[in-house]
Amino acid sequence: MRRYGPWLAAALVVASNFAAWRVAALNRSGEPEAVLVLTERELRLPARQTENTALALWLVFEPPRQAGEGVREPGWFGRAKLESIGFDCSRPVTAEHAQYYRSRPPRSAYVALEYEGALWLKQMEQAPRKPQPPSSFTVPESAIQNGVARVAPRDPFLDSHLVAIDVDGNPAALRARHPDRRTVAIMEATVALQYVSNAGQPPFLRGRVTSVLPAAINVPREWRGVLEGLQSDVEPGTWPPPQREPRFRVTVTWGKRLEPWITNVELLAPKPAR
Amino acid sequence: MAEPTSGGPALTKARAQQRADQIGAFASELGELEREGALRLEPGDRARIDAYHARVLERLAGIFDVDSTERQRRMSLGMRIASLIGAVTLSAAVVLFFYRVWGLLATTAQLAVLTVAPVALLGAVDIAARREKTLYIASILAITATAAFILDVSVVGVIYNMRPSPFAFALWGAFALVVAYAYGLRLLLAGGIAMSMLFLCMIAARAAGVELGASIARPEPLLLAGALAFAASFLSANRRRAGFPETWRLAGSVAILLPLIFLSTWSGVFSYLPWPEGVVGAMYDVAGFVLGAAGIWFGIRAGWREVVQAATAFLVIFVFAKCFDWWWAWMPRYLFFLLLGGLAVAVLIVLGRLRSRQRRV
Repeated sequence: MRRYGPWLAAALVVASNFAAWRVAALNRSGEPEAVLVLTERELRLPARQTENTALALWLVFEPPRQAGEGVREPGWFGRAKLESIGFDCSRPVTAEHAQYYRSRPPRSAYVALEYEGALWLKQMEQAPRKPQPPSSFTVPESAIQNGVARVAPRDPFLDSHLVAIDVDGNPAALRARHPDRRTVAIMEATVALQYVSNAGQPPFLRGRVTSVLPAAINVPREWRGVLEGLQSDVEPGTWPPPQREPRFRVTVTWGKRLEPWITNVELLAPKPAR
Repeated sequence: MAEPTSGGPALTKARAQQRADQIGAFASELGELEREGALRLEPGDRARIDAYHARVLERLAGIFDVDSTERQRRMSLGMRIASLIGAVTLSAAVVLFFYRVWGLLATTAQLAVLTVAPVALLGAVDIAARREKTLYIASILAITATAAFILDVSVVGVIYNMRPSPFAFALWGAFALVVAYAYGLRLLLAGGIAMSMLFLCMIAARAAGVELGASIARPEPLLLAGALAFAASFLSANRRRAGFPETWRLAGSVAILLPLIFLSTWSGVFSYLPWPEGVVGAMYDVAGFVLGAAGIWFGIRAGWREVVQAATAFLVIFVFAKCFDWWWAWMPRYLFFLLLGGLAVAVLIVLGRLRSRQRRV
């Protein structure tokens, strides 16, 4: 073992790198799975880091918003959809079983993210005329009280235009339901089950897409120069971060394995304040 | 007088150290016997024994770098701690240096650096292992090489925007195990076993549709992994290497016993099993008591100190966790703590008996 062990370990290093390169090449070969042109609203530019010289843009998407003020219902991601991706929702949705539902582990599924689609348009039409503070329904009350969540007016138009519109355990089925590859990207996602106690009304179950995989998209060196000048030196200390008009546009391509990569970055001309 | 030989079964570092310890104890006791007048060797005999032992110790130190005095032993412990700290800090330095510079490199150069770093460190491990019997430096470099390989696989995933995969853990575990077996490094062996066990948890999570990050919160696959690790301790490849069977047995014991605390107390949260919580909890309650007691009993019979210690620690924690689980909600607090105090005394008595039995064994 002493004689061939180091060679075996070195071979493992080389083979795993080669395999990763092959898998990436396979992902990027042939017709892209989806191509979306996104902006800074959907791809958050992080602050400059002294300890990390690389740059990755964080994908930001919106959960489906409620149809109006005071409306508390699961929307499209209700009990039936949760069951279709493997959550066991067979127990009655009552306070007695709340602990059971709260202890369900998050599951892996696939999410369809639509850019400026029908659901986003509908949400914009139903959005209040005046910018609203974050609701305790979408941001925990404690986060607002502790000052982590910013209670400042927000303009929904400046939030991400990428909206989670559907989930499924099978990406092909999801693509069949949402065939437009220019507006809908399919990604692997982590999905959580929420038991909403819904004071004064019957409790209900709701699904929530907590993250997509990968959560950030690496910016290759050839595009980094364009974006580095836009980076701030400090991260905003609050969540959600302050809103701004988008300063850049990025073309993101998704491949066969639903893994994205950046194919173009353009700076946008500054707009007058809305 | 005959030349010193290792004698008996194949000489390992552990056996060499045991022999050195025996010689030290013998010389010390012989001195006491002579001082108390219980035994008086002829001056020539004593000199011959001393000379023989000196040659044996010199030979053992030449081959295995054994400690022949208490001072040397303390220094060895210090060197082990220093090598662990060195491994952790050097690994952090490699990772942080890469993060500091990788943005300045083109993708091809990033991939080349990531591939070359663990291979170059492997070369350094080999050189260090040839030059130094104690393997302290080789151990530091081997852990750093493993860290460089972990960095390699992680960053390649980031460069290509890949989705996280459980197979990364399989690769890291395989790398650590190969290097551990090549140079007989126990710490890396433990790391390799841990990563392989995490891989099994993640594979089970993926099969069940559970998110990978939540896989460790469903620890049932560790029970199987622990049993496999325990069985692996009997392989001849492990018996030939000093400390390897003990490391496998310890990893196996911890992997089997630790999850039982969570599975029996919060079965609804931690278990994959679809049966009613009460049934699953009761099943793991029984498993906890039976396996804990069995671990102590088998450990004492077989002379597996690490298994006895792990099982004892588990059983103490398990008993107290179960007491809390069963009685805290309905029992008056003073009675609960009185009961725990009584239980602690009972545990002391049982452990005292086990200790005297262990001493007899």
